[in-house]
Amino acid sequence: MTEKIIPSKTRYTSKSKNKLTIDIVSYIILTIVSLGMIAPFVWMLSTALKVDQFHIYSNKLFDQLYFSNFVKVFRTIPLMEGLKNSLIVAIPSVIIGTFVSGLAAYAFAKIKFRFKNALFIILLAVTMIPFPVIMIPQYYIFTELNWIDTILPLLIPKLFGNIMMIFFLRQYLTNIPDALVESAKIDGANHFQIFIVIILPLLGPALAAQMIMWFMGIWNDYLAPMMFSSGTPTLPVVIASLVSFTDTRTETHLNMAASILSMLPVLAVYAIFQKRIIDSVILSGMKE
Amino acid sequence: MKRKHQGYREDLIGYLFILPVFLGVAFFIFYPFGYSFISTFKNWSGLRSLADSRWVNFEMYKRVLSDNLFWKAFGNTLITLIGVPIGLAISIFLALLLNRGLKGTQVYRVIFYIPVVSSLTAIIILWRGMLAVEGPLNDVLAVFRIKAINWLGEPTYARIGLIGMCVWKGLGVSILFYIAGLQGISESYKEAARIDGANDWQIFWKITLPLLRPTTFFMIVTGIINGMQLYVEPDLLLNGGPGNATTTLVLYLFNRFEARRISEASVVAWILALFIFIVTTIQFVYNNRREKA
Repeated sequence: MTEKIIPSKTRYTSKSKNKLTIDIVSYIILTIVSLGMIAPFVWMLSTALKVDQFHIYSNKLFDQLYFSNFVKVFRTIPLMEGLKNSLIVAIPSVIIGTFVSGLAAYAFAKIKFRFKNALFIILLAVTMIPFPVIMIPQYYIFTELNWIDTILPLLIPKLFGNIMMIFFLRQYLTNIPDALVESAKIDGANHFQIFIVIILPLLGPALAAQMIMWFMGIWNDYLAPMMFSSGTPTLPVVIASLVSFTDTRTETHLNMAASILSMLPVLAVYAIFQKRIIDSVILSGMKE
Repeated sequence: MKRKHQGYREDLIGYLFILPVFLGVAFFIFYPFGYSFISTFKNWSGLRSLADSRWVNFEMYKRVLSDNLFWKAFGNTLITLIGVPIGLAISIFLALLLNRGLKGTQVYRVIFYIPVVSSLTAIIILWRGMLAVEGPLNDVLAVFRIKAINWLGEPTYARIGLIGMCVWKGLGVSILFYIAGLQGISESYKEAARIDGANDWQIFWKITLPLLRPTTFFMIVTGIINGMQLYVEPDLLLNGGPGNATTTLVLYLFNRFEARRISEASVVAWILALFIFIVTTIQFVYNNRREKA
């Protein structure tokens, strides 16, 4: 850092005006793009507050605000059922699935066993299988298990862990010195105790970021819930059912209100953890 | 003797720790994977068991490959991939602006990432409203004296609208990856080039962009893999229409599935898998060569 300050000071006195112009232009461009990102959501909110579907394209963005629409949708759309099903799927999946993934990641990083590399490569190969290949046979397997239209097809497979999370955690654990594990072993701890007492707390922040991102992924997922569990709809399935290509009497303002409500939980999670989420994405970008 | 005994125990514990993951993979991925492969060589309607269905060799492959709609869906899917380079070009530009060390750029990063975390189904409902003929997008265009466009009703505009929505939703991720890539580039390269008299424009084309190549390559590959599987967006936004203009491969696959032509649906899935396999292999070879170099 110090070595940079000296030459740049001399250069920027002559170039400072030029730099200032570029700075201002940068801010202007970034602000315009930001507006492009946010404006649709603002319009969505304004639409959700309109009196009925005939007034959604009126000139005034915010005229009379019908906040009652947000109450009304709970009566017209099964939002509460969707919320309940989404929570029943997401929370146990993430908690148990993360624990199972952590165990596997620990084994791959710190335990010596035969065929370890071969088994790891098999996992790597599994991630290359596109979902469309396995989803149809899965449908028939779930049919035979009588799982169709229940939440089980969404919940049970996730309890067996998440391969991408195993990769990430294993990578993280290889940076932790083996001596930590070895000395605990000398003190008489077994691997399970080491995992619970030493590794899990060490993984803390990395694990939290991974759990949050997985939670958001499950929350927003639509394809598998639509295919296997439309009988007990999660929130995205409830929202997707509002889309109609034949019904012209679509109550767009209520659909927007319902969509906003369906996004709120994840947007709240994002608002709280935005720094951790963004840092974690940048970190994963650095490894590529 | 004792060491050997302990090694054996270590082995056992290692296997025990990875056992749940492999049980899940075996039952929920490998089993349906094999099931799917076999079903492409049978005439399976899903009504009776796969074992009871008749072997038909490559009949189902022939049927799919001779269906015009399949090729149209393949073409439609390739067309949507135009969004990948467009998104990347915008992302590089914005990442460069965000990486200039300006104050308060964290706020912009947070904003750009909002569409990424938002629920896709809600975003599609939002965009159906945005793209309506009397919708706000046409209102904005009217300011520039552009006549109202029937975004959801005309094939070309429907494709543009679909690609636009996908780029808009995914921009936040590629920007962050490019920021990561830019932070990995040492300032000293640029300093050296500056001393040699290079201007900012030359530095970007000759130094920054080539050094970002691994990031770009990775983003193109993941973009192709995800783009080839595009389904929810064209289905809920446009129902594959107008006139099949946005019927993608996976949408076509679902049509076969719903028509109980399960074997044909599986064939489509395997063609898709083959395509993705080739792209991933190219990436793998490229990465290996890069590591050796």
